[in-house]
Amino acid sequence: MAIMYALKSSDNEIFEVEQKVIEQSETIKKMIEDGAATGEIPLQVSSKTLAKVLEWCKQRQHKTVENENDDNKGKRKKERDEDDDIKEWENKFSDELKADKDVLFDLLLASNYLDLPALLSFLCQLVADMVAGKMPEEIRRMFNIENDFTPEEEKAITAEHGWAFQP
Amino acid sequence: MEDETREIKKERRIDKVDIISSLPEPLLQHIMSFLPFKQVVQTSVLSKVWRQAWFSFPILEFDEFMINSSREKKAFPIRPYWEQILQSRHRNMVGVRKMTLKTYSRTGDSELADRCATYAIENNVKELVLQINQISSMWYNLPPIVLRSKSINVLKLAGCKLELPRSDLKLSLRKLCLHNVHVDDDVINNVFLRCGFIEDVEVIKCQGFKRLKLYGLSKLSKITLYNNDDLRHLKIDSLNANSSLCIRSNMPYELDICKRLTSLSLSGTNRIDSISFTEEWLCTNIYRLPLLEKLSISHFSNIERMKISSCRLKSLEISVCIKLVEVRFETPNLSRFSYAGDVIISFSSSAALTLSETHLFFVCFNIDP
Repeated sequence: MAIMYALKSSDNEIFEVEQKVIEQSETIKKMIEDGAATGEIPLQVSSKTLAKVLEWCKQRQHKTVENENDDNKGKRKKERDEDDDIKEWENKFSDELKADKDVLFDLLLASNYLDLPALLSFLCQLVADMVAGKMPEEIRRMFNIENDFTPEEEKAITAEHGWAFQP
Repeated sequence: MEDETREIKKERRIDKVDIISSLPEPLLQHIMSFLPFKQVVQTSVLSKVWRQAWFSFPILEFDEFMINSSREKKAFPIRPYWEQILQSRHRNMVGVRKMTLKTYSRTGDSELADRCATYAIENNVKELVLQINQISSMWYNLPPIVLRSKSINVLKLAGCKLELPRSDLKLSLRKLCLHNVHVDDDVINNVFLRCGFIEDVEVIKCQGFKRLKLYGLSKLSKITLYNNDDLRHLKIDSLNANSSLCIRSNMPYELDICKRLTSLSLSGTNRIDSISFTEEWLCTNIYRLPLLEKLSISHFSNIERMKISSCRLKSLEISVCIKLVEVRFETPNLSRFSYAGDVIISFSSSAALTLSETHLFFVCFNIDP
Protein backbone atom coordinates (compact mmCIF):
# COMPACT_ATOMS: atom_id res chain seq x y z
CA MET A 1 0.00 0.00 0.00
CA ALA A 2 1.49 3.26 -1.12
CA ILE A 3 1.88 6.05 1.42
CA MET A 4 -0.20 9.06 0.45
CA TYR A 5 0.34 12.70 1.31
CA ALA A 6 -2.03 15.64 1.04
CA LEU A 7 -0.67 18.76 -0.60
CA LYS A 8 -2.49 22.04 -0.07
CA SER A 9 -2.21 24.70 -2.77
CA SER A 10 -2.07 28.44 -2.00
CA ASP A 11 -5.77 28.65 -2.93
CA ASN A 12 -6.59 25.84 -0.46
CA GLU A 13 -7.17 22.99 -2.84
CA ILE A 14 -6.08 19.55 -1.60
CA PHE A 15 -4.14 17.11 -3.79
CA GLU A 16 -3.70 13.50 -2.64
CA VAL A 17 -0.39 12.21 -3.96
CA GLU A 18 1.77 9.12 -3.54
CA GLN A 19 4.93 9.64 -1.51
CA LYS A 20 7.15 8.37 -4.32
CA VAL A 21 5.74 10.93 -6.72
CA ILE A 22 6.17 13.98 -4.52
CA GLU A 23 9.56 12.96 -3.14
CA GLN A 24 11.06 14.01 -6.44
CA SER A 25 10.74 17.48 -4.97
CA GLU A 26 13.70 17.99 -2.65
CA THR A 27 11.78 20.71 -0.84
CA ILE A 28 8.86 18.41 0.02
CA LYS A 29 11.18 15.49 0.75
CA LYS A 30 12.96 17.61 3.36
CA MET A 31 9.62 18.70 4.86
CA ILE A 32 8.63 15.05 5.22
CA GLU A 33 11.99 14.04 6.70
CA ASP A 34 11.93 16.92 9.16
CA GLY A 35 8.52 15.73 10.33
CA ALA A 36 6.99 19.05 9.38
CA ALA A 37 4.54 17.29 7.11
CA THR A 38 1.91 15.88 9.40
CA GLY A 39 -1.51 16.23 7.86
CA GLU A 40 -1.63 18.63 4.94
CA ILE A 41 1.54 20.05 3.42
CA PRO A 42 0.91 23.72 2.64
CA LEU A 43 2.64 24.98 -0.53
CA GLN A 44 3.01 28.45 -1.98
CA VAL A 45 1.83 27.24 -5.37
CA SER A 46 -1.58 27.82 -6.99
CA SER A 47 -3.80 24.81 -7.69
CA LYS A 48 -3.56 25.34 -11.45
CA THR A 49 0.25 25.27 -11.32
CA LEU A 50 0.44 22.46 -8.77
CA ALA A 51 -1.72 20.29 -11.04
CA LYS A 52 0.85 20.82 -13.81
CA VAL A 53 3.74 20.07 -11.45
CA LEU A 54 2.13 16.79 -10.43
CA GLU A 55 1.38 15.91 -14.05
CA TRP A 56 5.16 16.15 -14.69
CA CYS A 57 6.14 14.23 -11.54
CA LYS A 58 3.70 11.39 -12.27
CA GLN A 59 5.03 11.02 -15.80
CA ARG A 60 8.62 10.87 -14.49
CA GLN A 61 7.69 8.40 -11.76
CA HIS A 62 5.89 6.18 -14.27
CA LYS A 63 9.03 6.15 -16.41
CA THR A 64 11.41 5.12 -13.63
CA VAL A 65 9.11 2.40 -12.28
CA GLU A 66 8.77 0.80 -15.72
CA ASN A 67 12.52 0.79 -16.24
CA GLU A 68 13.06 -0.93 -12.92
CA ASN A 69 10.60 -3.69 -13.79
CA ASP A 70 12.15 -4.42 -17.15
CA ASP A 71 14.04 -7.58 -17.74
CA ASN A 72 16.64 -7.71 -20.45
CA LYS A 73 14.57 -9.50 -23.04
CA GLY A 74 13.18 -7.18 -25.65
CA LYS A 75 14.26 -4.25 -23.57
CA ARG A 76 15.76 -2.31 -26.44
CA LYS A 77 12.63 -2.32 -28.54
CA LYS A 78 10.55 -1.42 -25.53
CA GLU A 79 12.91 1.40 -24.67
CA ARG A 80 12.60 2.77 -28.17
CA ASP A 81 8.81 2.72 -27.99
CA GLU A 82 8.88 4.28 -24.56
CA ASP A 83 11.22 7.01 -25.72
CA ASP A 84 8.72 7.82 -28.46
CA ASP A 85 5.89 7.91 -25.93
CA ILE A 86 7.82 10.21 -23.62
CA LYS A 87 8.75 12.51 -26.52
CA GLU A 88 5.13 12.69 -27.54
CA TRP A 89 4.03 13.44 -23.99
CA GLU A 90 6.71 16.11 -23.59
CA ASN A 91 5.78 17.74 -26.89
CA LYS A 92 2.15 18.00 -25.83
CA PHE A 93 3.19 19.34 -22.40
CA SER A 94 5.46 21.94 -24.09
CA ASP A 95 2.83 23.03 -26.60
CA GLU A 96 0.32 23.71 -23.84
CA LEU A 97 2.86 25.78 -21.95
CA LYS A 98 3.97 27.74 -25.00
CA ALA A 99 0.35 28.69 -25.59
CA ASP A 100 -0.05 29.99 -22.04
CA LYS A 101 3.06 31.86 -20.93
CA ASP A 102 1.56 32.77 -17.55
CA VAL A 103 1.33 29.09 -16.64
CA LEU A 104 4.80 28.50 -18.12
CA PHE A 105 6.47 31.06 -15.86
CA ASP A 106 4.39 30.10 -12.81
CA LEU A 107 5.54 26.55 -13.35
CA LEU A 108 9.13 27.68 -13.76
CA LEU A 109 8.99 29.52 -10.43
CA ALA A 110 7.27 26.55 -8.78
CA SER A 111 9.89 24.09 -10.03
CA ASN A 112 12.54 26.36 -8.54
CA TYR A 113 10.70 26.64 -5.21
CA LEU A 114 9.98 22.91 -5.03
CA ASP A 115 13.53 22.07 -6.09
CA LEU A 116 12.73 19.94 -9.14
CA PRO A 117 15.93 20.36 -11.17
CA ALA A 118 14.82 18.21 -14.12
CA LEU A 119 11.60 20.18 -14.59
CA LEU A 120 13.43 23.48 -14.11
CA SER A 121 15.98 22.65 -16.81
CA PHE A 122 13.24 21.37 -19.11
CA LEU A 123 11.36 24.66 -18.78
CA CYS A 124 14.44 26.86 -19.14
CA GLN A 125 15.33 24.94 -22.29
CA LEU A 126 11.77 25.44 -23.52
CA VAL A 127 11.93 29.23 -23.03
CA ALA A 128 15.40 29.33 -24.63
CA ASP A 129 14.04 27.45 -27.65
CA MET A 130 11.31 30.07 -27.98
CA VAL A 131 13.94 32.83 -27.93
CA ALA A 132 16.64 31.15 -30.04
CA GLY A 133 17.34 32.77 -33.38
CA LYS A 134 14.96 35.69 -32.76
CA MET A 135 15.98 39.33 -33.07
CA PRO A 136 15.82 41.49 -29.92
CA GLU A 137 12.70 43.30 -31.14
CA GLU A 138 10.87 39.99 -31.70
CA ILE A 139 11.87 38.77 -28.23
CA ARG A 140 10.59 41.98 -26.65
CA ARG A 141 7.24 41.54 -28.43
CA MET A 142 6.99 37.89 -27.48
CA PHE A 143 7.40 38.49 -23.74
CA ASN A 144 6.19 42.11 -23.49
CA ILE A 145 9.63 43.30 -22.47
CA GLU A 146 9.68 47.07 -22.26
CA ASN A 147 12.75 48.65 -23.82
CA ASP A 148 13.81 51.05 -21.05
CA PHE A 149 16.94 52.30 -22.82
CA THR A 150 17.11 55.65 -24.61
CA PRO A 151 17.90 55.30 -28.31
CA GLU A 152 21.43 56.57 -27.56
CA GLU A 153 21.98 53.94 -24.85
CA GLU A 154 20.70 51.20 -27.11
CA LYS A 155 23.00 52.32 -29.90
CA ALA A 156 25.97 52.36 -27.53
CA ILE A 157 25.28 48.78 -26.37
CA THR A 158 24.88 47.53 -29.93
CA ALA A 159 28.17 49.21 -30.85
CA GLU A 160 29.97 47.82 -27.79
CA HIS A 161 29.02 44.23 -28.66
CA GLY A 162 29.20 44.81 -32.43
CA TRP A 163 30.28 41.27 -33.37
CA ALA A 164 27.25 39.70 -31.72
CA PHE A 165 24.80 41.75 -33.76
CA GLN A 166 26.17 40.60 -37.11
CA PRO A 167 23.95 38.14 -38.94
CA MET B 1 -19.97 51.73 -19.89
CA GLU B 2 -16.99 53.55 -18.45
CA ASP B 3 -16.48 50.71 -16.01
CA GLU B 4 -16.47 48.27 -18.84
CA THR B 5 -13.78 50.17 -20.74
CA ARG B 6 -11.73 50.33 -17.58
CA GLU B 7 -12.15 46.58 -17.15
CA ILE B 8 -10.94 45.97 -20.69
CA LYS B 9 -8.00 48.33 -20.22
CA LYS B 10 -7.05 46.60 -17.01
CA GLU B 11 -7.23 43.22 -18.68
CA ARG B 12 -5.03 44.41 -21.49
CA ARG B 13 -2.53 45.73 -19.02
CA ILE B 14 -2.40 42.37 -17.26
CA ASP B 15 -1.99 40.73 -20.62
CA LYS B 16 1.01 42.98 -21.27
CA VAL B 17 2.86 42.14 -18.07
CA ASP B 18 6.49 41.23 -18.63
CA ILE B 19 6.85 38.12 -16.48
CA ILE B 20 10.13 36.86 -17.85
CA SER B 21 12.06 39.95 -16.71
CA SER B 22 10.62 39.66 -13.21
CA LEU B 23 12.12 36.19 -12.74
CA PRO B 24 14.95 36.01 -10.19
CA GLU B 25 18.26 36.67 -11.94
CA PRO B 26 19.66 33.12 -11.50
CA LEU B 27 16.57 31.74 -13.29
CA LEU B 28 16.91 34.25 -16.11
CA GLN B 29 20.57 33.23 -16.42
CA HIS B 30 19.60 29.57 -16.35
CA ILE B 31 17.39 30.25 -19.40
CA MET B 32 20.22 32.21 -21.04
CA SER B 33 22.61 29.30 -20.47
CA PHE B 34 20.65 27.29 -23.08
CA LEU B 35 21.25 29.93 -25.76
CA PRO B 36 24.26 30.18 -28.07
CA PHE B 37 26.75 32.62 -26.52
CA LYS B 38 26.32 35.13 -29.34
CA GLN B 39 22.64 35.40 -28.57
CA VAL B 40 23.31 35.68 -24.85
CA VAL B 41 25.31 38.81 -25.65
CA GLN B 42 22.44 40.06 -27.82
CA THR B 43 19.99 39.83 -24.93
CA SER B 44 21.91 42.62 -23.17
CA VAL B 45 20.11 45.09 -25.43
CA LEU B 46 16.60 43.95 -24.47
CA SER B 47 16.26 46.02 -21.30
CA LYS B 48 18.15 47.09 -18.18
CA VAL B 49 17.18 43.90 -16.34
CA TRP B 50 18.63 41.77 -19.12
CA ARG B 51 21.73 43.92 -19.37
CA GLN B 52 22.33 43.36 -15.66
CA ALA B 53 21.81 39.60 -16.11
CA TRP B 54 24.44 39.62 -18.86
CA PHE B 55 26.91 41.57 -16.68
CA SER B 56 26.96 38.79 -14.12
CA PHE B 57 26.31 35.87 -16.49
CA PRO B 58 28.49 33.04 -15.11
CA ILE B 59 29.45 31.49 -18.45
CA LEU B 60 31.95 33.08 -20.85
CA GLU B 61 32.67 31.62 -24.24
CA PHE B 62 35.33 33.36 -26.29
CA ASP B 63 35.56 31.53 -29.59
CA GLU B 64 37.69 33.14 -32.25
CA PHE B 65 36.71 30.49 -34.80
CA MET B 66 33.06 31.47 -34.52
CA ILE B 67 33.71 34.65 -36.47
CA ASN B 68 34.02 33.63 -40.05
CA SER B 69 34.53 36.46 -42.47
CA SER B 70 37.72 38.52 -42.46
CA ARG B 71 35.57 41.59 -43.04
CA GLU B 72 33.82 40.93 -39.75
CA LYS B 73 37.15 40.34 -38.03
CA LYS B 74 38.40 43.73 -39.18
CA ALA B 75 35.20 45.56 -38.31
CA PHE B 76 34.96 44.07 -34.82
CA PRO B 77 38.40 43.21 -33.43
CA ILE B 78 37.45 40.49 -31.02
CA ARG B 79 40.49 40.17 -28.76
CA PRO B 80 40.38 43.79 -27.45
CA TYR B 81 36.64 43.26 -26.87
CA TRP B 82 37.30 40.17 -24.74
CA GLU B 83 40.10 41.93 -22.86
CA GLN B 84 37.61 44.65 -22.06
CA ILE B 85 35.04 42.16 -20.77
CA LEU B 86 37.67 40.50 -18.58
CA GLN B 87 38.82 43.84 -17.18
CA SER B 88 35.31 45.03 -16.47
CA ARG B 89 34.41 41.76 -14.74
CA HIS B 90 37.59 41.81 -12.74
CA ARG B 91 36.96 45.42 -11.69
CA ASN B 92 33.39 44.70 -10.67
CA MET B 93 34.34 41.42 -9.00
CA VAL B 94 31.98 39.37 -11.16
CA GLY B 95 32.71 35.64 -10.99
CA VAL B 96 32.61 32.93 -13.61
CA ARG B 97 31.53 29.30 -13.43
CA LYS B 98 32.46 28.15 -16.90
CA MET B 99 35.16 29.76 -19.05
CA THR B 100 35.93 28.82 -22.64
CA LEU B 101 38.65 30.31 -24.80
CA LYS B 102 39.28 29.10 -28.33
CA THR B 103 41.95 31.05 -30.14
CA TYR B 104 45.15 30.61 -32.11
CA SER B 105 48.72 31.65 -31.60
CA ARG B 106 51.64 32.16 -33.94
CA THR B 107 54.32 32.29 -31.31
CA GLY B 108 53.01 29.89 -28.72
CA ASP B 109 52.41 32.81 -26.37
CA SER B 110 48.92 33.95 -25.60
CA GLU B 111 48.52 36.74 -23.10
CA LEU B 112 44.79 36.49 -23.55
CA ALA B 113 44.82 32.80 -22.59
CA ASP B 114 47.00 33.59 -19.56
CA ARG B 115 44.59 36.28 -18.47
CA CYS B 116 41.48 34.15 -19.05
CA ALA B 117 42.98 31.29 -17.04
CA THR B 118 44.07 33.58 -14.23
CA TYR B 119 40.73 35.38 -14.02
CA ALA B 120 38.82 32.09 -14.12
CA ILE B 121 40.91 30.41 -11.44
CA GLU B 122 40.91 33.43 -9.14
CA ASN B 123 37.12 33.21 -9.31
CA ASN B 124 36.98 29.48 -8.53
CA VAL B 125 35.84 28.41 -11.97
CA LYS B 126 34.27 24.94 -12.18
CA GLU B 127 34.82 24.29 -15.86
CA LEU B 128 37.73 25.56 -17.94
CA VAL B 129 38.26 25.03 -21.67
CA LEU B 130 41.44 26.32 -23.32
CA GLN B 131 42.01 25.57 -26.96
CA ILE B 132 45.05 27.32 -28.46
CA ASN B 133 45.50 26.26 -32.07
CA GLN B 134 49.08 26.55 -33.22
CA ILE B 135 49.96 28.13 -36.50
CA SER B 136 53.66 27.38 -36.14
CA SER B 137 55.04 24.38 -34.28
CA MET B 138 55.17 26.28 -30.99
CA TRP B 139 53.12 25.02 -28.06
CA TYR B 140 51.27 27.25 -25.68
CA ASN B 141 52.74 26.77 -22.24
CA LEU B 142 49.88 26.22 -19.83
CA PRO B 143 50.17 28.52 -16.82
CA PRO B 144 51.08 26.29 -13.81
CA ILE B 145 48.18 27.70 -11.74
CA VAL B 146 45.73 25.70 -13.88
CA LEU B 147 47.04 22.41 -12.52
CA ARG B 148 47.00 23.81 -9.00
CA SER B 149 43.38 24.95 -9.06
CA LYS B 150 41.24 23.15 -6.51
CA SER B 151 37.92 24.43 -7.89
CA ILE B 152 38.03 23.01 -11.42
CA ASN B 153 35.84 19.94 -12.00
CA VAL B 154 36.04 19.83 -15.76
CA LEU B 155 39.23 20.74 -17.63
CA LYS B 156 39.62 20.58 -21.40
CA LEU B 157 42.93 21.53 -22.94
CA ALA B 158 44.03 21.62 -26.55
CA GLY B 159 47.21 22.85 -28.21
CA CYS B 160 49.05 23.26 -24.91
CA LYS B 161 52.24 22.02 -23.39
CA LEU B 162 51.97 20.92 -19.81
CA GLU B 163 54.83 21.53 -17.47
CA LEU B 164 54.53 21.61 -13.77
CA PRO B 165 56.70 21.48 -10.75
CA ARG B 166 56.12 18.30 -8.76
CA SER B 167 53.24 18.92 -6.46
CA ASP B 168 51.21 16.85 -4.02
CA LEU B 169 48.22 19.13 -4.07
CA LYS B 170 45.03 17.11 -4.64
CA LEU B 171 42.82 18.25 -7.50
CA SER B 172 39.03 17.97 -7.69
CA LEU B 173 38.87 17.14 -11.40
CA ARG B 174 35.97 14.90 -12.47
CA LYS B 175 36.74 15.10 -16.17
CA LEU B 176 39.99 15.79 -17.98
CA CYS B 177 40.28 16.08 -21.76
CA LEU B 178 43.65 16.54 -23.44
CA HIS B 179 43.64 17.02 -27.21
CA ASN B 180 46.83 17.60 -29.12
CA VAL B 181 48.70 18.33 -25.92
CA HIS B 182 52.41 17.87 -25.32
CA VAL B 183 53.08 16.25 -21.99
CA ASP B 184 55.87 13.96 -20.78
CA ASP B 185 55.66 10.82 -18.62
CA ASP B 186 56.50 12.55 -15.36
CA VAL B 187 53.98 15.32 -15.79
CA ILE B 188 51.02 13.24 -16.98
CA ASN B 189 51.49 10.64 -14.26
CA ASN B 190 51.95 13.32 -11.63
CA VAL B 191 48.67 14.94 -12.71
CA PHE B 192 46.69 11.69 -12.56
CA LEU B 193 48.14 10.78 -9.18
CA ARG B 194 46.49 13.93 -7.82
CA CYS B 195 43.06 13.36 -9.43
CA GLY B 196 41.44 10.98 -6.92
CA PHE B 197 37.90 11.98 -7.95
CA ILE B 198 38.31 11.65 -11.68
CA GLU B 199 35.56 9.79 -13.58
CA ASP B 200 36.20 10.58 -17.22
CA VAL B 201 39.56 10.76 -19.00
CA GLU B 202 40.03 11.62 -22.66
CA VAL B 203 43.52 11.74 -24.19
CA ILE B 204 43.56 12.29 -27.93
CA LYS B 205 46.46 12.90 -30.31
CA CYS B 206 48.77 13.80 -27.48
CA GLN B 207 52.49 13.34 -27.61
CA GLY B 208 55.55 13.19 -25.40
CA PHE B 209 54.57 10.36 -23.05
CA LYS B 210 55.25 6.63 -23.33
CA ARG B 211 53.67 5.32 -20.15
CA LEU B 212 50.28 6.18 -18.78
CA LYS B 213 49.60 5.05 -15.25
CA LEU B 214 46.13 5.53 -13.82
CA TYR B 215 46.64 4.42 -10.26
CA GLY B 216 44.20 4.48 -7.38
CA LEU B 217 41.41 6.18 -9.33
CA SER B 218 38.47 4.19 -8.03
CA LYS B 219 35.82 6.49 -9.53
CA LEU B 220 37.21 6.15 -13.03
CA SER B 221 34.50 4.91 -15.38
CA LYS B 222 35.30 6.21 -18.87
CA ILE B 223 38.68 6.25 -20.56
CA THR B 224 39.19 7.30 -24.15
CA LEU B 225 42.66 7.08 -25.70
CA TYR B 226 42.89 7.92 -29.40
CA ASN B 227 45.98 8.13 -31.56
CA ASN B 228 48.58 8.92 -28.93
CA ASP B 229 51.48 7.87 -31.11
CA ASP B 230 54.15 7.75 -28.41
CA LEU B 231 52.16 5.66 -25.93
CA ARG B 232 53.60 2.17 -25.34
CA HIS B 233 52.29 1.10 -21.96
CA LEU B 234 48.96 1.62 -20.26
CA LYS B 235 48.37 0.59 -16.69
CA ILE B 236 45.09 1.04 -14.86
CA ASP B 237 44.93 -0.52 -11.40
CA SER B 238 41.44 0.41 -10.24
CA LEU B 239 38.12 1.24 -11.85
CA ASN B 240 34.51 1.99 -11.05
CA ALA B 241 32.06 -0.95 -11.34
CA ASN B 242 30.71 0.05 -14.75
CA SER B 243 33.68 1.16 -16.74
CA SER B 244 34.54 1.50 -20.39
CA LEU B 245 37.86 1.83 -22.18
CA CYS B 246 38.15 2.97 -25.80
CA ILE B 247 41.46 2.63 -27.58
CA ARG B 248 42.29 3.71 -31.10
CA SER B 249 45.87 3.28 -32.12
CA ASN B 250 48.14 2.55 -35.09
CA MET B 251 49.94 -0.12 -33.14
CA PRO B 252 49.26 -2.27 -30.13
CA TYR B 253 50.68 -1.27 -26.78
CA GLU B 254 51.16 -3.09 -23.56
CA LEU B 255 47.99 -3.20 -21.48
CA ASP B 256 47.74 -3.88 -17.80
CA ILE B 257 44.14 -3.18 -16.94
CA CYS B 258 42.11 -3.60 -13.80
CA LYS B 259 39.97 -6.75 -13.94
CA ARG B 260 36.80 -4.77 -13.25
CA LEU B 261 36.60 -3.43 -16.79
CA THR B 262 33.18 -4.19 -18.36
CA SER B 263 33.34 -2.53 -21.77
CA LEU B 264 36.25 -2.43 -24.19
CA SER B 265 36.46 -0.89 -27.63
CA LEU B 266 39.56 -1.44 -29.76
CA SER B 267 40.24 0.21 -33.05
CA GLY B 268 43.33 -0.24 -35.18
CA THR B 269 44.17 1.27 -38.51
CA ASN B 270 43.49 0.68 -42.20
CA ARG B 271 47.20 0.38 -42.84
CA ILE B 272 48.46 -3.14 -43.29
CA ASP B 273 51.88 -3.40 -41.77
CA SER B 274 53.86 -5.60 -39.49
CA ILE B 275 53.45 -3.52 -36.35
CA SER B 276 49.66 -3.61 -36.19
CA PHE B 277 47.50 -5.64 -33.77
CA THR B 278 47.91 -9.41 -33.70
CA GLU B 279 45.61 -12.25 -32.77
CA GLU B 280 47.83 -13.17 -29.87
CA TRP B 281 47.68 -9.65 -28.46
CA LEU B 282 43.90 -9.67 -28.69
CA CYS B 283 43.50 -13.11 -27.09
CA THR B 284 45.85 -12.38 -24.22
CA ASN B 285 44.26 -9.08 -23.34
CA ILE B 286 40.68 -10.30 -23.50
CA TYR B 287 41.62 -13.33 -21.39
CA ARG B 288 42.84 -10.99 -18.66
CA LEU B 289 39.47 -9.27 -18.35
CA PRO B 290 37.07 -11.76 -16.73
CA LEU B 291 34.24 -9.27 -16.19
CA LEU B 292 34.13 -8.00 -19.76
CA GLU B 293 30.54 -7.78 -21.06
CA LYS B 294 30.88 -5.61 -24.12
CA LEU B 295 33.59 -5.77 -26.76
CA SER B 296 34.00 -3.90 -29.99
CA ILE B 297 36.81 -4.56 -32.48
CA SER B 298 37.40 -2.59 -35.64
CA HIS B 299 40.14 -1.93 -38.17
CA PHE B 300 42.32 -4.84 -37.10
CA SER B 301 43.67 -4.99 -40.62
CA ASN B 302 46.27 -7.71 -40.18
CA ILE B 303 44.27 -10.36 -38.40
CA GLU B 304 42.92 -13.33 -40.34
CA ARG B 305 41.61 -15.42 -37.48
CA MET B 306 40.09 -14.35 -34.23
CA LYS B 307 39.22 -16.40 -31.19
CA ILE B 308 36.99 -14.60 -28.75
CA SER B 309 37.10 -16.39 -25.46
CA SER B 310 35.22 -14.65 -22.71
CA CYS B 311 32.95 -16.08 -20.10
CA ARG B 312 30.75 -13.07 -19.34
CA LEU B 313 30.72 -11.41 -22.74
CA LYS B 314 27.19 -10.38 -23.74
CA SER B 315 27.74 -8.08 -26.67
CA LEU B 316 30.29 -8.30 -29.46
CA GLU B 317 30.81 -6.03 -32.45
CA ILE B 318 33.32 -6.67 -35.20
CA SER B 319 33.71 -4.26 -38.07
CA VAL B 320 36.10 -3.43 -40.90
CA CYS B 321 38.73 -6.10 -40.28
CA ILE B 322 39.62 -6.58 -43.95
CA LYS B 323 41.68 -9.78 -43.77
CA LEU B 324 39.44 -11.58 -41.31
CA VAL B 325 38.17 -14.95 -42.53
CA GLU B 326 37.32 -16.83 -39.37
CA VAL B 327 35.88 -16.02 -35.97
CA ARG B 328 35.68 -18.62 -33.24
CA PHE B 329 33.46 -18.01 -30.25
CA GLU B 330 34.00 -19.34 -26.79
CA THR B 331 31.39 -17.09 -25.32
CA PRO B 332 28.60 -18.94 -23.48
CA ASN B 333 26.75 -15.75 -22.55
CA LEU B 334 26.88 -13.85 -25.81
CA SER B 335 23.45 -12.46 -26.67
CA ARG B 336 24.21 -9.66 -29.14
CA PHE B 337 26.53 -10.00 -32.08
CA SER B 338 27.07 -7.52 -34.86
CA TYR B 339 29.41 -7.97 -37.78
CA ALA B 340 30.18 -5.57 -40.62
CA GLY B 341 32.71 -6.68 -43.19
CA ASP B 342 33.58 -9.09 -45.96
CA VAL B 343 31.29 -11.94 -46.95
CA ILE B 344 34.02 -14.55 -46.97
CA ILE B 345 34.02 -15.42 -43.31
CA SER B 346 33.20 -18.39 -41.16
CA PHE B 347 31.79 -18.33 -37.66
CA SER B 348 32.11 -21.25 -35.30
CA SER B 349 31.45 -21.88 -31.69
CA SER B 350 32.58 -24.51 -29.21
CA ALA B 351 29.26 -24.48 -27.40
CA ALA B 352 25.70 -23.58 -28.23
CA LEU B 353 25.19 -19.85 -28.59
CA THR B 354 22.06 -18.19 -27.28
CA LEU B 355 22.07 -15.14 -29.49
CA SER B 356 18.92 -13.08 -29.18
CA GLU B 357 20.03 -10.35 -31.52
CA THR B 358 22.33 -10.64 -34.51
CA HIS B 359 23.19 -8.07 -37.10
CA LEU B 360 25.29 -9.01 -40.08
CA PHE B 361 26.29 -6.44 -42.65
CA PHE B 362 28.37 -7.83 -45.45
CA VAL B 363 30.38 -5.33 -47.37
CA CYS B 364 32.87 -6.30 -50.00
CA PHE B 365 36.12 -4.41 -49.69
CA ASN B 366 38.21 -6.38 -52.14
CA ILE B 367 36.42 -6.36 -55.44
CA ASP B 368 38.41 -8.09 -58.16
CA PRO B 369 37.66 -6.68 -61.56
